[in-house]
Order: sequence, then structure tokens, then C-alpha cells
Amino acid sequence: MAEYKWPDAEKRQYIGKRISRIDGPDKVSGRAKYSYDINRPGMLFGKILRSPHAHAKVVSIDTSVAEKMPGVKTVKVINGPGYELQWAGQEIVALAAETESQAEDAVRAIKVQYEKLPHFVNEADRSKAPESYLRKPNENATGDVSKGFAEADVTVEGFYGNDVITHCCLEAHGLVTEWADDKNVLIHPSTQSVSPIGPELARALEMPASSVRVKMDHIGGGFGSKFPIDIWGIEMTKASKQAGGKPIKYFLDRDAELAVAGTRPSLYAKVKVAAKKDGTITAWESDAWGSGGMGNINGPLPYVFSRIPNTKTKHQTVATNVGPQRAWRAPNHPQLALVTMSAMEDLAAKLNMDPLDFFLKNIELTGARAVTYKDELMKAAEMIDWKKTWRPRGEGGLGSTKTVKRGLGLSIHTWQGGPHNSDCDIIINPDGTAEIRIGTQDLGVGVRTVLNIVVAETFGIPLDWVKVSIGDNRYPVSGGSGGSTTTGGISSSSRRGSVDALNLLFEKVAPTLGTAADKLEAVGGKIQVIGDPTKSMPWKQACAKIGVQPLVARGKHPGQGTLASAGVGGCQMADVSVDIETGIVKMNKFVAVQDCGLVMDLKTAESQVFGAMIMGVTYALYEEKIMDDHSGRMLNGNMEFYKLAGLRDIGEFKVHMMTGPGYDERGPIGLGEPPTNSPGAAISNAVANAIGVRVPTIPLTPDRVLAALSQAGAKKEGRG
Amino acid sequence: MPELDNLNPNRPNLCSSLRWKGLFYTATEKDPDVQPSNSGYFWCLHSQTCLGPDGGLAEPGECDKPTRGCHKGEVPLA
Repeated sequence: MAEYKWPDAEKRQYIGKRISRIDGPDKVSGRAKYSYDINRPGMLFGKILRSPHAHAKVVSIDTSVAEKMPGVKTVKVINGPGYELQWAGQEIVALAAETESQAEDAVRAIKVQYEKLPHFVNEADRSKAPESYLRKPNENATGDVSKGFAEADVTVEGFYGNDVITHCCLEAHGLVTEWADDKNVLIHPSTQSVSPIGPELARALEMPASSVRVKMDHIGGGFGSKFPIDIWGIEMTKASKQAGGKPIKYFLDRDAELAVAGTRPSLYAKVKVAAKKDGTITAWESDAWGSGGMGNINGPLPYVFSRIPNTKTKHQTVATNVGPQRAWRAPNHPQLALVTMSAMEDLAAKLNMDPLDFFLKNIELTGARAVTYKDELMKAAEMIDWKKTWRPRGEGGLGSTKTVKRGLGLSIHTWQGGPHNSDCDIIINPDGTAEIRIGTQDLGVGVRTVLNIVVAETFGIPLDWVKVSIGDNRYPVSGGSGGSTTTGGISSSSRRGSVDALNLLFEKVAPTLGTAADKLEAVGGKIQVIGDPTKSMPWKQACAKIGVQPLVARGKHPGQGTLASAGVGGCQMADVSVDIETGIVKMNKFVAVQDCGLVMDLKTAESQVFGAMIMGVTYALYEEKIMDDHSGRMLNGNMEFYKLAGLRDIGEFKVHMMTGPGYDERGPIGLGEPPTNSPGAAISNAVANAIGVRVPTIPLTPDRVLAALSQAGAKKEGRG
Repeated sequence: MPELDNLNPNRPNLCSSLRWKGLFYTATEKDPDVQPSNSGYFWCLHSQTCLGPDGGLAEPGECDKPTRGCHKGEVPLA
């Protein structure tokens, strides 16, 4: 009988190998259809009138002119008179028309009177926040922080932070929605929640969950922002019904996408941290604040070095009239890594210690993963040639010139990545082909390829004999794609389902081979007696024994046996050059070392880390949701001034996945989030190492670099 | 690591319309050595934002008050 456990390393045909994504050709050729590409006969186009004010009360709305305009089929007020709008871009009226331009004209014809109210949109300087915008702080303490500081030989105090950034999914949020009849809805959303979003829409519309069909093939980015059905999903589905069930296409325009479809909260902190001469950390104290819009946020410090014996922390949410936060690839972790690792590197600099030695000295403070971090730090140091290249802060790294300074920085990080609940159906057809059906979506991690690998590996057949079907809520329920939970969950369920299906096939084949089903194995395209290739039957011939009806097994996670686990560590090191005349930071080299348990596909795993590193360079150097104090509106709600890194900005990347004994036996662990956590910290530390001063907040834009240099110069000359 | 009490959804009388990312997947294994990742990202099923239909915050610490006008024990089906 086949067993649930993952095959031993020497028996793996596909798992852990370098296999190209099966949907790669469709994506690069344009054959892959995203929800945005869906166009239906007789389709209407939805538009939404949004608030121009960051804080205002709706006094009156007149839609009468818009309702009579050519092509307009439905107009519906979302937030009517008396509603208090809390951010610019908040929804007021939804409508749909026969053409996009007719819908845009109709939106412009709606007359709204507002009572403007005071707003607050920039929280970096907490002292400027109105009292009513300051939420009750969360305070915690461990050990005796006064004693910890008293025991120390060196103490540093610093200010660190990152601004609010926004999700920038290249496929905007939205959907195509239509009523198949007066009771049944079909939606093509751009969502991370194939299985959950149908019941969500149904519940909001107070209709049976079984009446909502969800279908989508590909998603153009989500990063945590595409879990809900969203107000536009609900309102456009209502509008479709009002329009006789006609399909309506609604996707956010880019300015709305950047303004309202999700932010990553800011985090700022004043940190005091201390150590003995030998580098032993004795105490940590921090006063942190940040904003995720109107809602509360959380921010446990210190990050990873969570076992510092004496700590005192305070965290306060500052409300702002900025579009609401959403989960953004590893919620909180990049911000917490930046604050913690920056303070650590500043402390190492004051101790005149190499930060690599300083981190290794204190690695036990990270807890149970200390050995992993140590191994990863050593590996990353080797990859970037740290010991040869690193120079003490401010000395100018190897290769520096009078105006261009080079520096190295590092950071470590973690993430849960536990597997989510997942069901799937594994089907073996009488012709020997197989199919997996599962209500998940590929958020970009290579889900189709991972599923293909697991099923083909279990059956011992070529990859292209397996069809992977995802993106439909008629398939077995799997968790939403997010939180780095997908690969663990779907790998486990698909392995169990495949093993169960295979054992059913063994039952059919055993009599012909003259043995018992539990004496069979599937290897190299054959069913054979375990260890005896002379008593075998080709896979396709074996499958013919099924008869005419396909054989089906339901795979589940959780289930018998431990096939996945949780908790990873990672390390990143950045090599940068900074032009001290222009303030421009250039990435020379960026290395990442990451574990994720059992690697299912080495190529897509590395690709995940590369993607996170690009995203990391972007948020470290460029990304910023710039809010205008005066108007309360986002100033860079477009792709021209909301800056993302391009190919020429990222430098040389190197990735190493920690695999083999000590890692593989943990089973797969999610990888999407973790490598996103360190880039801001590693790059900020590299810049500090290069120019000799800390640039307190990211993104490390030229003006901030120059300001930090200027301030340091002024201090040195006694002017600051 | 203690988390902000207002963001802890494990409380009685929680409105059935409160939503958060963790509801969309149930991760079965957790590593106690990894710090909590609760982003504080909560939203209301009906308004689909961090504000409830009454304009108040949609968060566990606010959505456990049955006296709130929009609080729902159950969402009725038509």
C-alpha cells in the first residue's frame, strides 16, 4: 500500500527538483485569461462616484440627471445623506451603463453636497495628531528593564520607521458579475478566496450560498488585499439584478486601486537598546506608533529577538483619514524587522562590532530557531563574501570612492506558514490520465505546478498526464490563498488524496499481478510488486482495469500523518552603493537564504524568494503613499509617481534554499511571506554602513539620504 | 507576545458579520516561536470596510456589543 508520508529523498522523481511552471507558457503568451479579460455578451460597465474629501458628511445627492443619460441602466446610492465619509475615495454612488464612457459621463453628472470636516492624514509626527485620533496604547514588559540598562556598557537610542504604502496589484480589484436567472449569480472575481467568496457575497445579499458560482482562472496579484468580496462586488451584483441580470464589469481605476484597495500600515518607533562590551544584549525599550487608516493595528517588538531578557514596549495606533489597511504580504513583519534590525545594527556599530558577529553572539535570543538562523547567516555571509567586503560603519566599504560609498547590511526574519484546511478530489481516468480538482487559486506561488508535482510523484507518471483544475467554487473547498498557508495545505491534501486513489487502483490491479494490494507500488510509469520490476503492469494498462467510470478519492488536510508544519527563518544581506552627492541608493548585490521545510519545486521556490526581494527593494527604496495634508488626498495615485523597482534597479540577486536533512522532514511550509520581511531592514542597514549615518525612515529616497547626511554633518560641525 | 485586546476575536457576543483574514483560511499548525501576525485588518460583511454600517469601527473590541444598532447574532436569509 502507498503511504501518506513524503517519499524519501532518493526516491523523489519530481519533488524538490527544478520544474518550470505549467502555466508559464499561457502567461507569457497571453493565452491565460485573468478575470479582467472576461467580456460577456451585452455586458454593462460599472463605475463608482467616490468621495473627493478625506473627511466629510454627505448632505445631499442628486442622481436624477445621471439616471436619464444615454446608456445608463442602473444607479444606486451606496452611502447616502448623513453618512460620514472617512477617507478620500470612499464609495458614494454606483452605476452601470452600456459603455465605459457613458458610465463615466453619468458619474460626472451626479451632484453631491458635502459638509467638509477636519482630517488628519500624516502620522509620522504623532504630536500633530488630534487627541481623538490617538487610540489607547498597548503596553507590555518583561524582566526588569531598568536593571537591564544599568548592567549595560553601551546604549543606543534611535528613531526608525516606514511610511504607509499601498497594494499595487497589476490586475486591479474587481469582477464581472451576472445573474444566470433570478436566483443564481455567476461571478468572475479577481480574488484570493475562490471557495469562501461565494458564501460571502450570498450572505451580504441574503441569498443561499449555493446560488453563487465563482469562476476564475488567474489572478494578477493580491498580496493579501483580495480576500473580501468588497463593496463594489456587492453593489455591482445588486446593480446587475436591477439591470435584468445583465453582466456588469467593474474593475477599479488605477487611482482608486491605489487609494482604497488597501494599505500596509506605517510603523514608527523610538528605540533604546543596550548591550555589554562583549555584545550581549541586556535590555530593550520602545515606544512605537503607526496607522492603518481608521482601524487599530498591532506591532509586537522586538522582532525575532523576542527573548531579550528585559523589555518594555508601548504601541499606539494613530487613526488617519487614509484608505483602510489590508493584509500586505506578511502583515507587520517587514515593519517590525526594520525597527528591530536597524536598532541592532546601530548597537553593533556603537560597540565597534561586525553586525554579523553581533547577531551570532545573540542568536539564542531568537528562541527555538537559533540554529537555523546561525546556519543561514553563515551561508548568506559566504554568498556575499561578507568577511572580505564588510568595513566598519562610515569607513566606506570596499570599492568606495570620494562620492560613492559602499556598504553591507543584514537582517533575519520569520513567519508562520502553517498549512490551511484543504480538500481536493483526485480522479484517475480509465485511460491513465489523472486530474485534481481543488477550490484554490494560484496567487503567484506556482500552485498548479505544485499540485501537478504531488500527483505525478505519487502515481509515478509523467507530469503531463495530470490535469490540474483550480479556480472554481464547485471544486472541493480549500482555504483562501494567503498567509503562506496554501502550499502546505494543498500539498498535504493532494498527497493524501493521491495515495488513497492509488490504493484503490492497487485493489483493481492486484488479482492480475497475483499478489495483494498492499504489496504494490507505483514507480516509473508502472504498477509493480514492491521492489520487483519483473512483476509489473504499465500504468495505462493498470488504469484500464478501472472499468468505464473514473476512480475518485477525496484528499483532506488535516488528516492522518504529519505532512506539513509551520515556522521558518530566513536571512538576507544587501550590498549597496550610495552616491552622497545625489542621495541615490544603488543595489549592487542582494542575497537571501531561506528555509521552507520540504521544497516541492526548487524553481518556483526560488522564484518566490526572487519576487519577494524585488518587492523588498521596491518598498525599501521607492514605495510611498504620499498624502497631501491640505486636501487629504493621495498625491501619487498612478503608475507614474507610485514608484516600483524596474529591472535596472534591483542589481544582482542570489537565493539559496535550505533543504535536506533537518528541513525536508518538516514537510512543506509556506514561503510567500517570509522573504518579504527582511529587505527593508537589510537595505537600510547597508545604507547606514555605507554613509555612516542612519536614514531613519524608509523608503530611502534621495531627499531622505541627503537630509540624514546633512543633519549628521551639522551635528559634527556643532550646528545641529 | 500579548496582542492588542481590541483585536482579539475570541470573545462572546461577537457580531456574526465581523470578518478578518484568518477566517478565510484555517491554519492548523502554528509555531509558538513565531510572533503573531494579526494585522488588525478587520472588516464588516455589510459595509466591506473597517467601519460598520453605523460608522463605528468594525473590530472585535467594538463588535461584541449587542447594544450596537448594526450588531447581528445571525444574518437572515431571504
